[in-house]
Amino acid sequence: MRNKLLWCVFFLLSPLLHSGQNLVIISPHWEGVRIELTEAFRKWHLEKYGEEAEIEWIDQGGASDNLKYVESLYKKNPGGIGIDMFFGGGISPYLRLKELDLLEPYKVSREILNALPRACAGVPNYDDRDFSWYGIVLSGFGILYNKKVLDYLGLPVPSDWASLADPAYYTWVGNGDPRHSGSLHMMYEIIMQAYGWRKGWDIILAMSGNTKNFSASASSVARNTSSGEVAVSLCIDSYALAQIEVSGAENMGFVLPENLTVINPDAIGILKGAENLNVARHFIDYLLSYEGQLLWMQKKGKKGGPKEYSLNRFSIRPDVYDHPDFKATIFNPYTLKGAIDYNFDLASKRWNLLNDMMGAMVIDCHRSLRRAWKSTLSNKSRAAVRRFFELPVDSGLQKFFWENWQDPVFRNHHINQWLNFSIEKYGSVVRMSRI
Amino acid sequence: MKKALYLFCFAFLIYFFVYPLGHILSQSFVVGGKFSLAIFKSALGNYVVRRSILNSFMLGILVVISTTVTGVPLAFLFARYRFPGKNLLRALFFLPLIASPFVGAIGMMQLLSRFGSINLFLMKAGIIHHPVSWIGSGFLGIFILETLHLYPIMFLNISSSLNNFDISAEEASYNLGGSFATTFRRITFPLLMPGYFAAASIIFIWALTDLGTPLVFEFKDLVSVQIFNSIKDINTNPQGYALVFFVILITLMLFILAKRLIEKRPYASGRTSVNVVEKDLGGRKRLLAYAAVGLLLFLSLLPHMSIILTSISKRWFFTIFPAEYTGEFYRTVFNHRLTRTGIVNSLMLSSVSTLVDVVLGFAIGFFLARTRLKGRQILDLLVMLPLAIPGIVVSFGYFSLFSNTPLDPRNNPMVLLVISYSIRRLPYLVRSTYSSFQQLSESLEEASYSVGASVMTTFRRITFPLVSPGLFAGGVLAFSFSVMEVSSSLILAVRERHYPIAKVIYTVAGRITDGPYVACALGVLGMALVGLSYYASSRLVARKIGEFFKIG
Amino acid sequence: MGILTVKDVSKSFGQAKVLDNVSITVEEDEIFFILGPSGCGKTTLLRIITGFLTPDSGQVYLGERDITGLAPANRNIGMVFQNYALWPHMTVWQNVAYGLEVKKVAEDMIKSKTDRVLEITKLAPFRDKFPPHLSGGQQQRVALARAIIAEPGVLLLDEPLSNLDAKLREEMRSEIKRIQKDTGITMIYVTHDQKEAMSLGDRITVMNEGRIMQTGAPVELYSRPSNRFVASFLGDVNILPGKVAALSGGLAEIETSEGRLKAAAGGSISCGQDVEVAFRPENVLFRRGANSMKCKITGIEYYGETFRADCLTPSGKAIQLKVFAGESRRLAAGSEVEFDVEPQHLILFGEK
Repeated sequence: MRNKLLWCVFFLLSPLLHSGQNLVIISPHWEGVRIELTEAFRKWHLEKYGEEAEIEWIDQGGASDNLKYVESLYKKNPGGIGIDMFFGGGISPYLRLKELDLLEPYKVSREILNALPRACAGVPNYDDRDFSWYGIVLSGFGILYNKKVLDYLGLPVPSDWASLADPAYYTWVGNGDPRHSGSLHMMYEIIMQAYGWRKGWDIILAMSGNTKNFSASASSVARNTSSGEVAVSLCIDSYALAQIEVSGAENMGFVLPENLTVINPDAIGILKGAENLNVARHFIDYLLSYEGQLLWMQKKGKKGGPKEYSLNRFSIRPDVYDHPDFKATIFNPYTLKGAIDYNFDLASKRWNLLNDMMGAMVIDCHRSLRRAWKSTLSNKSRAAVRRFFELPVDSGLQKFFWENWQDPVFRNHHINQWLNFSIEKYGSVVRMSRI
Repeated sequence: MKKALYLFCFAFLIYFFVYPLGHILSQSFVVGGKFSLAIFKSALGNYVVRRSILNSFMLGILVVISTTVTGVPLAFLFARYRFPGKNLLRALFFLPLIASPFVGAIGMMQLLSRFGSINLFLMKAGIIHHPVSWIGSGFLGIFILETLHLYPIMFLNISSSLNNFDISAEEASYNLGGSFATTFRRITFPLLMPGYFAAASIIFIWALTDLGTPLVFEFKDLVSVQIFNSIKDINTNPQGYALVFFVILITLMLFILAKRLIEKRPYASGRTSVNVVEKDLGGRKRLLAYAAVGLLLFLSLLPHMSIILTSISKRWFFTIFPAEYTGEFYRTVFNHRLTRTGIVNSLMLSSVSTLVDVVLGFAIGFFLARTRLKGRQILDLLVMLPLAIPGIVVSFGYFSLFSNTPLDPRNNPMVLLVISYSIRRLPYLVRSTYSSFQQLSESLEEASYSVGASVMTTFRRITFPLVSPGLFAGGVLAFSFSVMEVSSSLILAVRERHYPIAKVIYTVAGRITDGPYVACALGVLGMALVGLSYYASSRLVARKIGEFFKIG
Repeated sequence: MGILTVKDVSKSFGQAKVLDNVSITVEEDEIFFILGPSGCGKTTLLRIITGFLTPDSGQVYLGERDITGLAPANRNIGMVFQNYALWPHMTVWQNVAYGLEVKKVAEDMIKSKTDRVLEITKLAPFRDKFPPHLSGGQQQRVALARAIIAEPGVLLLDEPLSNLDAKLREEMRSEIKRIQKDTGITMIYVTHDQKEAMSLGDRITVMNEGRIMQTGAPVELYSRPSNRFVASFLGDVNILPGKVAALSGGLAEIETSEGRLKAAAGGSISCGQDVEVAFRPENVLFRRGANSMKCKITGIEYYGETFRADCLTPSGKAIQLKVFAGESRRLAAGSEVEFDVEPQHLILFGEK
């Protein structure tokens, strides 16, 4: 009994005893990534520095959630928040963190920089001025679909974003909340940039009318697609490939809309006041090393690959694509033709604005939106359709909004205004269709 | 020594219960050092907040209604009629309680989704031609799971109320010419009312503050989820405080109402013998009863079955049952760092918090039953209040109160997890020791003194052995509640190293490959642990385990 | 000084004064009874003696030693509880041996002594049973055995027979007497049952409303009660109010509604004083004598060897007469009788 008690006390205290010695990373990367990276980095670090390095993962839901969490923490603890690195979520969070001066610069060795192109398809791969963040892997964004469900429903395989606006997909589109998930945010931004403001919103609104549910996380959107809860969904390549691997290529498919997508690095950065600065730098070194990059692309069980979970991410180093295992099978983002001319500056400036517009105009009033969309489908009143696509904001005003978006009063005021506008709008669409 | 322990109990409850609640209050009403309603105004001005409050209310009321519709007739059937297999069936109705709906939801996704087993079966049978969306926006799914989990609480409470008064009370009414309806309205219902209200308020609060199930079904327009999300940016957006205050307000109101109602009934206590008359249920009626009970049991065990099936299925893709079976996910549970961490953490956290509960529960039970120390009534109230205050509120309070202190959950939530587990289960322990003490005649201790035994010897050889069965039964239950505790675990554990089982299940379920399978395997283990605890606990005390699911 | 002395003990709970200046002295080897109706303070007195309560004032001595402030465990006073207070989780043997174990007596000593006590109390066959499986009488014996094994200076018994049926009570009464003789232990026995006290007690103290009414041997208390309460608590009694008319040579003449009665008088009676004259219903003789009185029988109740006649005196006073069955011939309801009470059987109470 006494021994057991001591054992309990020991376990209770043990985390306290070595707290602060681990590299603490906040990241929305799914668990497979965390398991594989922790193991591989521990080994790499032991070989290279003769010391074990342990990674501790924190997650608050998605990249957007993590960003909120970190900002909130810094407000109370400006000197440092006990988290060493921010990882994942594209590159927009890093632009925001840098703007708030919350990133600790680190310049990697020349050797690594030489292997790293400054940009891929117009999107920067790392912060080449201040070295405050580095892209680690490249992500493509597209549409995941369940062949079985499409067959059953007799629906076509979608080819691009606009096809998701087809009423045939009513209630069968899977979607997620960009306010939580960085990858979903990317896809809305891509749609906006690929089709332009007006047409972009038309597609988003119609697609949202077809959407069954807005999930909180990108991974559950993918899972819902493979379980058949929805037929098609917005999806980042890695989740799509993982889902195809699980459910079989005969059942699932993934399409990168031709000429209408973007390759976006998934970055990492060291947070201001990091307690484990050295290990954090080692981690960046490791991630950008050939060895560290191979881990992301190689299938599980293969040499240099992960042990249990294939990560299915595309390396940011072009030299990895020369590896004999990938030459034939995998597409190379660096040679991918037809990515859109992506305006990164614009994207990061309106990051929050776009999220909140999506929230106010689509997600928070999704039930009304869907009801309105349904009523326009059964009754093709032109006026109702026109009303459905009305927007509370003109594209010209965007700049004005994002410049003032830091002011919480201004922001909350407009969010509420748009929300009320939208609810009123969708209500009137239903009424108009009824007549 | 005694005095010191007494003061410690007070200090413990005040610091870890009253203080966090006070903090929430002050944070939601004080802006810039002045009293202000600004936070409430901005919260209520928000459409999403308003709708969340409305939805949560709706959910609570709907679940109360659905559990009433199922639980009350069931209780009548079991209290008033005799039929073969009754005792076995009664025991089976404990099963829904052992699977937390949060885990059940993960398994049920396989059945309820649009191409899940239920729809596939119905389509194959030709009953429907187009898949039905059972989960809907998620609300329906939450409603179903919570109903299936909670109706036994209604059943247990109404059953005990029914057994608490003599059937002659009703017969006297019939004898005087009262009709069935009159008798029910004037006699049966008023006698049942306190028990019903107690059960209904537990169920309402439970549904209102359940966090795990809505998260699994991805339905975010609920107060609990809004609170959970607000923790991420609580320093920049104080809206969470207003929501938590709202929950405190409702739960306290219900708690006070329930207490009033229960105190007002003089007829529930001091009964000596109750004449229980069970009528035989024969023929067609019996068949009908079996069919209804069987259907209800089948439905409420669906989550269990789906968890178990998912945990052993190798591939379950568009088939009614899994295409292949495997035990590998159970191996994964024990081999993986995160799952292993979760199991070790939860076992350890629950053990320590149970230990704290047992010590404090025993001490407070003793103080209340055996001493006349000043402030006993206040201690009584303080220790019973956590029954009403949901875990989500306590953990929210801890999160905002203890950040930047050595107890900061962001660095190490273990201490706070232990405390939040133990504070929430302390009422059970206090209650069971208190009643053990009351049943233990003081003369048993005096007899020991009179033959020359010291206070310590008497405690060790007489008092403790006689009080301990109740204490251990309560302890085992507290342990099992803590092992699968959801809301504190989700909120307070930030680093993977500190995740308890519930948070591991939630995290793993999101894993894109084998996630749901492993999560379900872990869920099955948790379920088995909880079930075993219930069994052990009911063997420890002759008392019915159902008493632990009552309040007041 | 006796083996146990209670001196001037008072105790109040809140406003209620439960013990008022109580003093008793218990002699070695006797069975001393504390007798009184429920609520008279006898249990409080008992708990003060055992140490479960502390008196507001006064002392308790065990022999010469003041034990007022001593913890119960250190008093060497045994106790048999009304509800026996047997420990349900221990066997008979364990219950009994406990008192020795906690005193750290050597193990073989515990064994032999416990066995002997179980022998004395005739419990040997039940040594491994648990208390809930025993009959009431057996439980009573266990309680006794447990209390005497530690050889206490004094053994207190708190209404020990109140939970037994009538027949068992008789049996246990003689059992207790026997055990007391065998062990020579001093007993203080609390009860409200005057029969128990009269039949078992060497001395009795009668308590009422927190005060000692009278202490003495049973015969003395019965035949010469010092006040109306003691007289009526110990048995049926007829009481007539009157006035002392004359005093001469230890005999007082009292003027009552039933005529002038002669009674043996104590020292404190003075001429002209209001007094009460009492006599026991069984102390009547159907003859004409010094204290002749008349009455009319209104009803008769038979009790086997005796019967009781309810009567009305000519002045309208209700009295009772108790008569042996042999004499019943002359008495019938409705008939008038004349009876006499000898002066030594007339008891005088000065104060009310």
